[in-house]
Amino acid sequence: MSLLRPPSKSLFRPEKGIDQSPLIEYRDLVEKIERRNFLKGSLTLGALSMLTGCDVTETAQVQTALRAVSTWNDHAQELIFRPNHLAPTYDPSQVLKPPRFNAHYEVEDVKPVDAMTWRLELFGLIGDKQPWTATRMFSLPEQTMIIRHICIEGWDYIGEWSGVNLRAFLQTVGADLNAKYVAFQCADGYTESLDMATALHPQTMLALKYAGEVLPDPFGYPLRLRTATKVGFKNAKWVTALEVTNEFQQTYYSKEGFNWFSGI
Amino acid sequence: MEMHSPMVDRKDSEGTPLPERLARLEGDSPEARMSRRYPQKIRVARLLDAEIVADDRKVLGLIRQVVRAPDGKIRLIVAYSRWLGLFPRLVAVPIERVGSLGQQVGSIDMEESEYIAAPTWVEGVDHPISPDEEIRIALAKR
Amino acid sequence: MSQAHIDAPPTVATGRVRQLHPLPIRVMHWINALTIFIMIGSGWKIYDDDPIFGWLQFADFLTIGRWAQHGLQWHFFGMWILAANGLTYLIYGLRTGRFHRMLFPISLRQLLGNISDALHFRLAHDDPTQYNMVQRLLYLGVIGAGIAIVVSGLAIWKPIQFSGLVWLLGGFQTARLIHFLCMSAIFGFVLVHVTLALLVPHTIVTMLSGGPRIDPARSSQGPAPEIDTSI
Repeated sequence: MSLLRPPSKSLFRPEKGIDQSPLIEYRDLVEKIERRNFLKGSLTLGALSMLTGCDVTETAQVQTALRAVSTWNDHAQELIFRPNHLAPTYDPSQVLKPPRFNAHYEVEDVKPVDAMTWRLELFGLIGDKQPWTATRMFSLPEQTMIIRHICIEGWDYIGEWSGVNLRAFLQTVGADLNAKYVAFQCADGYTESLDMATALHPQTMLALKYAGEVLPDPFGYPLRLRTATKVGFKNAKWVTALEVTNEFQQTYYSKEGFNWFSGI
Repeated sequence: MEMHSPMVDRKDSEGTPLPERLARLEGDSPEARMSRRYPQKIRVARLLDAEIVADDRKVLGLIRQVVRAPDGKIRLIVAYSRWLGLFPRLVAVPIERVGSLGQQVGSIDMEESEYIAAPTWVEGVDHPISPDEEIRIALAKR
Repeated sequence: MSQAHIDAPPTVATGRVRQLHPLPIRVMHWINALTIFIMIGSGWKIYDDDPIFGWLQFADFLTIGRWAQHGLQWHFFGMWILAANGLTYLIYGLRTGRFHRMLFPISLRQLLGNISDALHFRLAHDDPTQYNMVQRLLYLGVIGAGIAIVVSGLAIWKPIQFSGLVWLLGGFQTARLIHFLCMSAIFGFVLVHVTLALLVPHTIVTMLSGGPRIDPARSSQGPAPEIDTSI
């Protein structure tokens, strides 16, 4: 294997260096260290222990073990997932309008996407990587579904989404459907990814509308991912890029310790 | 199809104007705060009998009516109960001070102490809004 | 010595002579105790993220996990142990006849008598090899609650893959409520169980060392015969 690698064109290459995931949990502490210019460029658990006076190493080891179990759970869930089992659908009268807003920040901090300059960029194992404008996305055949959104917290609601079936879109752009993952990047820095089986599920779509109207800003305008078989946070909003890949990359919430597969 | 910049009315693929994006106001007035919370349209019928909750999740009461005051301001008339739903009395809550939490409404800018201190609402000058009418409500999250 | 003791020496028993709590039972019991502790502690953390009852939220120190995802991590770890250990226990209890021997029959008359004794602080525990009616019902109840909590847990873990199960249980939020109520029943059991074990501490020793040998051929009905516990 050559030590020299050409610079990667993908947006999704992980940063080099030690696995930062246990440190993500101690974000506040990490920021304190950075502000104090402490061990610049080389964050260590030992440094955190010294700073806080408490033994974070044990917690990190516990986290490592629990995350290994979570990875094992990913495999178990993949076995349980039935690729052609449809989620129950509901009546239009049951649709919640407006839907419930959620994000990892407050609604006031939602930054609207400029639709004039927005493109859906394509990366990875895709034949035609030309970016898509919103106009082009709206011109594709539209699928509508009324399904249950279930949050990891435990609340749920019935919602109606319309958009482009993801499998159909992947076929249109010549994606390799034998690849393992479809990854997404979002305007607010959020990242998510799906196993290919879920990406190809009949009820997985790139949604453009809610309850028959174009997605309002807080709900992902102009385009969001919408599945019927994943926990709420997997349904990324304000999607700006899509990559078909065989490389697994941690996502925003998996780095924090949430289960990556998170299928329902 | 025309795509406008986000700060003006957007149109969907048929050119139909989208729900207008209200200008986000600076300042601390209830109207300004509401404008920064991406208010969405909502049918009044959705609000009737919905629970209104405090920040600590305590149910403050049920929304019994939605009315428009003579100055044009919209108010939620809540059957507020201090203890376990007993002895409710009607309290007017300005729409600018709440946010939609999905099936519930969050009393995000009005604390329970203000409910306790508020005068009991009486019918008279405020006009009930028809259940089919659409008003705007801010968004909130827990 | 009583006549019963002389007439029924262990060596001619029709079943294998075993201790009151054989080693598999003791191992499974303590695994279960630790697992239930993990499941309830982490379950309360998950509950707090979207409480079913607004007036009920579990304080941080009562929960396992510093943040919400920790509760989920522990819960999705412990659930495998709970299910595997629980299933093994059920199979063991049925196949060795232990459930039949220890938990049946249920007699309402004896139950009422036991409750009356308990309220008058007269409920005897001289013979640890036989459970009284209150014990039998409590153990049967917690086994039932354990099965129900796993079933409802499967429904809320995979409400789409197991959508049929969710429908049977009355919907997603209802399945959550059932899961919570089963937890409450198990928690209530744990409080009673631990309290009584502390009041009769030799039962804890028994669950560690196995207790007296018993003849499985002996009928579990009627009054307990004398048993030489010096074995």
